[in-house]
Amino acid sequence: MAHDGRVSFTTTRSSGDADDRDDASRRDDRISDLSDNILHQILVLIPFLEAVRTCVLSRRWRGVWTRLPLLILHAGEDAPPPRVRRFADHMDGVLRGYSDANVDVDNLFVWVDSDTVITNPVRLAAAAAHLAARRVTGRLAIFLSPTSADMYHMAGDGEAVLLQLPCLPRVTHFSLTFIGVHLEMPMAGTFASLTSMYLAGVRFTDDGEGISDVVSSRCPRIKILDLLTVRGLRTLTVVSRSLVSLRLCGVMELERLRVVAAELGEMVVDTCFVLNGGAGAAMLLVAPALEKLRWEDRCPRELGGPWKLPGCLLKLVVTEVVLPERLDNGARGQSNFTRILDLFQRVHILRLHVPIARDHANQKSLIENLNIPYCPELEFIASHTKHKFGPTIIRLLKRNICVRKLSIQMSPKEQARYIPCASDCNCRQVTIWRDKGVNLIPLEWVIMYEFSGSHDENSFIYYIILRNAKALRRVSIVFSAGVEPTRRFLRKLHKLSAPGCAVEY
Amino acid sequence: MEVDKGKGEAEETRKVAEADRDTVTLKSSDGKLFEVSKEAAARLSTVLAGMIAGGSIDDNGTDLKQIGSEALENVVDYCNKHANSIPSAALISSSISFNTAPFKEPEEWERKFVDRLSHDALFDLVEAANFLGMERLLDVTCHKISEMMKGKSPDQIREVFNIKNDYTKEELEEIRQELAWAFYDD
Repeated sequence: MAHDGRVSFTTTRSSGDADDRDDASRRDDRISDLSDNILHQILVLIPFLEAVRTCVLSRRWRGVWTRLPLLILHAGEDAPPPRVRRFADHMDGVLRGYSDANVDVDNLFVWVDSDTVITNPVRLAAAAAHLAARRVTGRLAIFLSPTSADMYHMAGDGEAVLLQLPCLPRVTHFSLTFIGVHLEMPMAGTFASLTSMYLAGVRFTDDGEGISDVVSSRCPRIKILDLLTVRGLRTLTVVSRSLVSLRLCGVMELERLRVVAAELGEMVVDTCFVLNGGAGAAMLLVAPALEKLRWEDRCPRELGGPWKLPGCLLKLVVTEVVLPERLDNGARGQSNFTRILDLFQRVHILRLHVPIARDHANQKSLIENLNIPYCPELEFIASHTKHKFGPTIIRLLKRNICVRKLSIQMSPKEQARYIPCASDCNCRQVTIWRDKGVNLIPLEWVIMYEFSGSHDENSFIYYIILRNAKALRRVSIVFSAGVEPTRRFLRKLHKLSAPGCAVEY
Repeated sequence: MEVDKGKGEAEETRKVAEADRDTVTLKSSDGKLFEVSKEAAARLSTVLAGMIAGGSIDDNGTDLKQIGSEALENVVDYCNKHANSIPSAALISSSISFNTAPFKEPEEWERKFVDRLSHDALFDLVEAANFLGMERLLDVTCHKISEMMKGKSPDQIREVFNIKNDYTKEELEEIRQELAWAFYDD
């Protein structure tokens, strides 16, 4: 080979490697002859601060760093060395460097880990946003960890808390995590390229008018909208032809939600209506292309119309939100979360996370008030299993006779504490337990996760499933960690199962 | 050795199948000929793909006047190795999780491939990859150079790449003050 006999150049992962300096004196300066584009490609692969420091190498290198296409300003213990001191100075320096060069930046990331405290986070975020407004053509991500910048705690120090977001006409992905900052959306300008927006921790003081206007009228390409633990958002109106995914989590002051989105396929509402669910909350949903809905929330009292939803949803997940005691005012006991089921006639996969109520009357009314859509696949998550889950699931199955595939996820038991059952407890409803009237003819496949071999789990399999589901073809049991099936259990399982039914564990 | 063999093969192939060949012949600045599979060339190089599609490939050896024979040999070698390697999925750098357009880390064979190159050969290859629009090869070679820079002081970098410091002392001092935020002693 042509290069045999030459001193080979080995990788240098540690600094000061002797191999680096092999025949330096005989070499030409090849790297300085490379084009700026290639130098940028090299410099984005080393820590940003090191890239900046290349400006002292020679005159050729002076301004190279100010035109890097990717800016990662990362402070904190997870950042690669060398360690950034005084992050604000660092940001200022970078912005000064970039203010002279009229070049586009693909991506700008400002990242402050939790171990770093910054003095004026609003100014810093604003500076990054203003650079992005002019230069960034790809992603803008500003992440200030809650411990590095929390305006709820810092506001007392006479600190400015208002962040006026400029319009970001060329940014495609925008994400901002900044606890307690008062975010003001721009009054004019179009976010012409924006396809996704993620806001976490911010608060609005206009009840949500600004964000509703921006998303509905000035983001023609937006596909993904995520709002997490946003405060001061009472009314959210999203009218969008492009939106595909909408996620609202912990938007706890939400009172009115209006979504009109022809392309919306996936929606998550998690812990938004919990405070106002009982009061004047209202929702309107016009989403004819909706495929998946995860609802982990109370249902707004007023479900205004005209609604437009698909005839059959691919997947519906409904979970009761469990509130800490201090927040659970008024609506204690029966929560109305199951009303969301009323909206759908047919669902391909229904996942229910229903609490097992302690007393029988409550449970009965909960289940009997459920309006379960037609669903061939039912996934049931049994929570609070201090009591037997069997009666609840049987009631559910009685209400829905078309289930072909049933999966049940047990939750780990709290065995340490014995909770005595009241006289009307579910556990004592032996009549239901042995109810032979349950029609399980269509049932083909039963899966049980986290199976621990407890008495009610065993009984459920023996008496309900194997005796009643005559067309059953498959039983899958996933034992929880550390649980070994007993021989007796397996023997009985095989004995009771119909011929042609596969048992796997 | 390999150069001659490549040349011999090239002539042979030309005799056997004048039309409908599945390789292309490339000619280095110093007139040496190299064979490379048409499929690999088109897949790895936007420039060669354009030439193949545009019919501007010369069966007697497409002139690549900017590329020396050693660099072209490495390019061809890379193309062949690339064709034989099984692409491994999920080699995406996880170090910067919030960077969603991640740089794909070089694979083991690619590392070895650039590690064995001499200093000059590495830079020749960077330039050849750039000229031929070979994005992946450019990534791999730039990654190698970035590793040679990483964790080093400006003085050490100058030494590794033989960069001549043409600043005056005053200029240097001025820059260090202007960019004081980037220069401090750890």
